[in-house]
Amino acid sequence: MVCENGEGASTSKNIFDDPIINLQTCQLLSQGAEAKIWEGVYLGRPTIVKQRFRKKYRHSTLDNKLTLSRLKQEVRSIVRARKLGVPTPVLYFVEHEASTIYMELVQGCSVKAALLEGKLSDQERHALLREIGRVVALLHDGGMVHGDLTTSNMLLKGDSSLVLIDFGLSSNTTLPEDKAVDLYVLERAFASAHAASGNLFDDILASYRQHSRLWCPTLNKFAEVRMRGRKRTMVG
Amino acid sequence: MPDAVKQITLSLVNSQEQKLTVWLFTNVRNAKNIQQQLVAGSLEPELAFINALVVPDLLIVHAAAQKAMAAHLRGSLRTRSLHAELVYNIAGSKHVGQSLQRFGISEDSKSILVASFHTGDPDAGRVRSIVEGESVGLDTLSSLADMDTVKKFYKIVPAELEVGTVADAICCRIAASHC
Repeated sequence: MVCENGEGASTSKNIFDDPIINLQTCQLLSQGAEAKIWEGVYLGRPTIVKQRFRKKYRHSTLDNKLTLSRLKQEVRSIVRARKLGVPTPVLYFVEHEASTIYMELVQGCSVKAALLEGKLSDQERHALLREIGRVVALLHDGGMVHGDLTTSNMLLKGDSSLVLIDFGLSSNTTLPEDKAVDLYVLERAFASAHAASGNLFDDILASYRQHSRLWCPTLNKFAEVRMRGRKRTMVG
Repeated sequence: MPDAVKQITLSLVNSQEQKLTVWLFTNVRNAKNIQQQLVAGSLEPELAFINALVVPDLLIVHAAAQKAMAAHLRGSLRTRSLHAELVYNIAGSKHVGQSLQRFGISEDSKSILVASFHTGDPDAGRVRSIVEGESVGLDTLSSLADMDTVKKFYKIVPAELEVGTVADAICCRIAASHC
């Protein structure tokens, strides 16, 4: 049994129970700063189990609140993105008591791996980059940003169609500033991981401009963000 | 198709080794009677009766059943029983009354999906004795569905169908309904 230190009623509900699926039958794929990713079988399908864990350095009341709100935000973002026509993994179950999300295991490799291995023909690569631009434009026009656009958070399902994953940092916004930062993060990701492949990001930007209705303010801001970096200067 | 599967048992992840078995009936004549028994709570052991016209895929039932089972094991059911929770979960909404009304059976239901949580073997004979109708293969489920109503109930937009099936869209709503 886990004892709660807090005295307030809000701490009474434990959100770090063991999930309903037996993790011993699952395989640990990776661990990040906020969650562990397991692979298992749920609803008779190969499934990704993403479990957020307790952070012992935080006060338990605060930890519960933050973890729960981030879990909910991630789930809402995935559903919202799907409604906009952005491909995401299918959600199977959200277990609040264990801070766990069960979702479709996308069979395929990451865009990062595909680009680095150089298996794609020039034509395929061009089509992929344009598709990334289109999907990001859809997301932004729908009033969302992904928050962590990198090539390892994009998968190629069945080695052809693009799927976005990890909406843990996603948020709802219509500000050109936030969208510009989203693009900037993606540009930096390309600059650091795919510098050897030339100017891949230009293709994405061209496609983004073509597919987004609101490209003008976003790209103006993007030029600004490029000059100063991701963090805003604090004035006033 | 004489050999069509007329009952399907779905496995559930849980500690009590419970499973879910599903049957599909068409041309049901005694829906009113069944509904009265349900309201009175006189069916023992209980069964879940689902409006088959608004459930285009078994994945939906499976996801809802697993979610109901999880709530049952944690003692956090939002409805009277495990079987009612299954019907409620299929709706993917927080509104219990409306969910049961839309996805449960009504007096004039002709196509009914029956589901039963059980350990051991399912009692198919008992289900057949309760429902006066034609037992048909579960592969006909998708052709029975009234897609316009399904899209209306779940508010499925065309953009969503470009990235996945109707079943995928509904599964996401079931998972996200309490977020």
